[in-house]
Amino acid sequence: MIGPLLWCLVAPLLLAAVCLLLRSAVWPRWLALAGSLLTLAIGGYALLDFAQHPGADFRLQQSLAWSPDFGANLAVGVDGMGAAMLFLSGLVTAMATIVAWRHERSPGTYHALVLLLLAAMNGVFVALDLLVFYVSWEAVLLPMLPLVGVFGGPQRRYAALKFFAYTLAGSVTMLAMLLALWSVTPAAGRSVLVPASTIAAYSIDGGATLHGLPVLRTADSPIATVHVPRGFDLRHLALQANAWADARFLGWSLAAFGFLAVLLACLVKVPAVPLHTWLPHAHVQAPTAVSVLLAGVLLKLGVYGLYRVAWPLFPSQAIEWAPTLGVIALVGILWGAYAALGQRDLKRLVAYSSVSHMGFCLLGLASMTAVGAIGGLVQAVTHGLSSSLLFVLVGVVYDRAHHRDVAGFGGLMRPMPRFAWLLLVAALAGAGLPGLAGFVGELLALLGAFTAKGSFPWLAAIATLSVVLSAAYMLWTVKRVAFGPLRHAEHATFPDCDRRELAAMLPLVVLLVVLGCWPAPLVNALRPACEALLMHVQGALR
Amino acid sequence: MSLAAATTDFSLLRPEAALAAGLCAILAADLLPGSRTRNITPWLGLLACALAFTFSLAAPTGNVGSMLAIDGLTNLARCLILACTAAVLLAGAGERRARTDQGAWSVSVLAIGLGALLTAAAANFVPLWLGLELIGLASYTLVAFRGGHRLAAEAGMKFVLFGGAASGLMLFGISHIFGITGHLDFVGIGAAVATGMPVPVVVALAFASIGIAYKLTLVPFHFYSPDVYQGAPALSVAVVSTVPKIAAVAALVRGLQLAVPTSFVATSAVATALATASAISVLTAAFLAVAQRDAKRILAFSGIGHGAIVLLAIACLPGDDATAAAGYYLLTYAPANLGAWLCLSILERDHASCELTALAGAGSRRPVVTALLCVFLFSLAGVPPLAGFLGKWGVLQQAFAHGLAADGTTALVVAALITVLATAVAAWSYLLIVRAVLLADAPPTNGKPLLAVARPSVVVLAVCTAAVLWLGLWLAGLPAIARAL
Amino acid sequence: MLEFSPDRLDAYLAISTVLFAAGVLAATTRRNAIGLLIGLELLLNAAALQFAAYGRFRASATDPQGQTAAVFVIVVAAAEAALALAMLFAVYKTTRDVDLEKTRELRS
Repeated sequence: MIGPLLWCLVAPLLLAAVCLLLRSAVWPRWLALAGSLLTLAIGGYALLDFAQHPGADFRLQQSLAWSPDFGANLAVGVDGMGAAMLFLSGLVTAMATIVAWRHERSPGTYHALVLLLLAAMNGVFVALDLLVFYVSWEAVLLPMLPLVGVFGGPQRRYAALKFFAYTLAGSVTMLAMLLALWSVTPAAGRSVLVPASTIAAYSIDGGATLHGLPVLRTADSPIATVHVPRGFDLRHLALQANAWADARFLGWSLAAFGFLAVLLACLVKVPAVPLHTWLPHAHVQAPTAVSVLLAGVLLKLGVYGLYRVAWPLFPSQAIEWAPTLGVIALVGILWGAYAALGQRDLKRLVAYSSVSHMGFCLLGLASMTAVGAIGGLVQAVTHGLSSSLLFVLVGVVYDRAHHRDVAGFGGLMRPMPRFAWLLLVAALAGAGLPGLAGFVGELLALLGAFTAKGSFPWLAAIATLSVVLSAAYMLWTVKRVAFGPLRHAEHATFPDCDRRELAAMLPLVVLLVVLGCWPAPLVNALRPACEALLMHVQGALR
Repeated sequence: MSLAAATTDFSLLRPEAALAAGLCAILAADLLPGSRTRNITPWLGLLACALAFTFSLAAPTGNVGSMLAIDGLTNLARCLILACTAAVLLAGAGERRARTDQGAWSVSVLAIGLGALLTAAAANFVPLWLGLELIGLASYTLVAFRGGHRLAAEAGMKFVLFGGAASGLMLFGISHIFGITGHLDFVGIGAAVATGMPVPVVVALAFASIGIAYKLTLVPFHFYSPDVYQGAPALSVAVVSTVPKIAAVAALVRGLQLAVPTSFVATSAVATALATASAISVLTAAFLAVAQRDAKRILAFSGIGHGAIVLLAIACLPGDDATAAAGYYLLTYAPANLGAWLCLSILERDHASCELTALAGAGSRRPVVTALLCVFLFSLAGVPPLAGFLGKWGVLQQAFAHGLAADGTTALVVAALITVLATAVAAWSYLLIVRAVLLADAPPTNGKPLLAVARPSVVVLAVCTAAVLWLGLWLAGLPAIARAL
Repeated sequence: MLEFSPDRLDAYLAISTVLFAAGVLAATTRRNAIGLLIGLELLLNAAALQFAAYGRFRASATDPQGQTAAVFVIVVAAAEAALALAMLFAVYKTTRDVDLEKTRELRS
């Protein structure tokens, strides 16, 4: 009745309710861990399936009728992209729960909020219906507000409200886009022409049906007709891309309005410069585990939104805006790296490095090449791993010293060797050392940009400079914190990472190393979906 | 749509009769000595509401003379009005226990319900005006129900003076309509202007709808609302800000369906006028709300905005789906609004004021009430997956569909986009309240113990929360309501 | 030239319009709340007069709607006036004044 992907949505909600009702200090964290491990298992299973049997189709699909009058169904399914994101979501939430294992203040409420956040994030990644996508996108805000605003640091109010206001303002136009798409479609739906390549890529029964719709072929023609009903199914909406490009909305092109609406919502979340100013505050004021969630998963929502909604529905606009997006990406990459150089607060440093790394995702997608698109998603996954690891490490040292000032540390290798080595690994992963996963994503994204048309090779060349900058601030930080003489005598008594903290970090380290040396499974899982996406977008040129 | 052959079948008025009987019973009970009988009065009112609700659920349709029309719209409005009245009575039974003026309070709340039922069923200007006046008189009383508190008395005075002026202007319009068309009933007026709508009739109708605009707190008849809501006790405002809106919307829809020829309603002039009024109101409400520093005033401006959004749905008339969208919006608005005001009444009792600085840190002392208040505020703001989002969705969808149609009015689409913008701005005003109660630091307590929340209030809060959560996911609700009409 | 004869509708309409205008003026410009209340009464009674006048001249001879409406208006106006006076008295008890310019505690 309820398939695995719907369990990824329902189970965290149920567990959250149980957490709220149980007045226990012990059980909520186990329930949160259970919810995230469930997501991890299902995401991992799907990802392995895509790695072993690559394909652009959507698997584990399920559709529950929500409102037939609106053509909105609780439609869920994953392709390679969704599976990778779901896996990341489960893994990072599990790590964050282990980090917050000893959370003392209202643990029931705290873990319930984390479970609600997990449900909303999963909803975004598995949604195949635009309305479900939008509801989940907005629903992410509700648990984040108290997580940062109540459980956070001294300026938590400002950070939480800024985050909420920015994200809500960005996504409000998406609502108008949703309604416009609905209103412009005739009630009986429309017939669209679909090239045979698209059917070959997505059909699961050899071309008889496409996304649940019967395919009508005229004899030996490479183009078939599909009648698409009015509704919010993302795959059906993508089929009507040409119709959106032709439709007018108050004198503008509907596709232009829709693309800019989705772009605005996603760029706030990525975050792209100049809409990034909420991120450093949110990271610094949030508790460690929430920072892990924020950097590990929430930033990826923006990138995923571009891949899942903006590019498929409005390909002609994507092509038109790609060069601008490339420049925005480059500005983000350089600005983030440059700002990180000057930070003394460790969390702010990692926050700005996040801004810089997410720029690579944008650059890869904007390059309009398959390699670049794959690189963008690989960078999203690997940045999720490396930045989560960095935030856990910052949390470890904050736990001991109760401050995050780089200048206040020095020579921690002596009392905390495990911490120091893990910090080095994490820093190198963030800097993009070959052999660790961060390199793969950056390489693929830059390759894609180099081979793209127009000014992209120049953008890629300048972006490569940031590798130097990120190596600089990462290594400088490690040197300052871990190596050299022990600057403060009281640090000599700091305990090293205990088993719980190691449990939160080692899976991330292992994955970073494995994916760095052998990224083939991840790339194989992502490749067909990205190639099909690019094919769909290039098809709009005709 | 026209009224069926007139009958004098008074069994159609069983809900109203039940409420009237309840009123008499409360007045009688109030005369008896002893405080226990006084505490029974809200429960008597609740019983009357429950009885009336069962009568409305499967009520037959028909007309009572040419005065009242009982149809699907009336029954839906009745059910919603009675549910809201019952919720407030139940909350009052708990929150206002052991007050000597309990009987008078229950009478006033029940009278608002009765007036609202009358207004919602009105097919003639006389019962429409009578119903609005009954709502008004009871509202003025409820607003001043604070035992000599200076602000409440001032709020009541402003309310009655403003309301009386609006009522006088409305009567002016009605009397001229009577003069020009010779009819007071909607069908008769519709027949008289079927050939064309002369300008005097349009002007008179505009005056006649001032009363409805006043109850819906539309600009420029909204000036009383922030001051009155700030001075009145929060529980009174709960009923005053919810029930009259439902009645006014039902009356407006029926008036536009019967009294005005469909061809006139369908013209883009009417749609543009209503859409413009809606856009102006929603923008005013949003931008003025963010400047407020009192939670009750912020909610007052929010009510203005919500009334404007319902007007946008009405601007999409004629069409049953436009009515359904308006009705569905009220269905999602009512539990959130009631719940928010009930939470505010609990917090007001703790902090003696609802200014944001006074409410600071309420979350640390009353975590559950504060959390529920935030849920209700987010629903009013329209954040998914709560009820308010689907309500706004329904209205905006109607506006887009009617506006982008081949012969549609672009003003509807522009008003819808302005509503979307205003929603984002208004969300900040709700965040101000959330910031104060949830995120701000609590001032040092003065050691006074907290009064426990009365059990009836807990029930009401639970029902409202469940409604807000469930309606937020029940996307099929809007077509279901359309089919029920 | 207008003839103010009791047999012409114009006469009644003219009087009621003057009453209405006076009521609007009083309601909008008086500082004293009692003065405003008098203005409200003028408004309501102007409407009642119009109802009665229209009922006499425009409706059919057996149609009682005009007179009925006028009676309703008088009754409700009385109830409203009673309530308004009670409200004003409540304010007067606390502030010893019914000057509307002075009772302005409730404002943003």
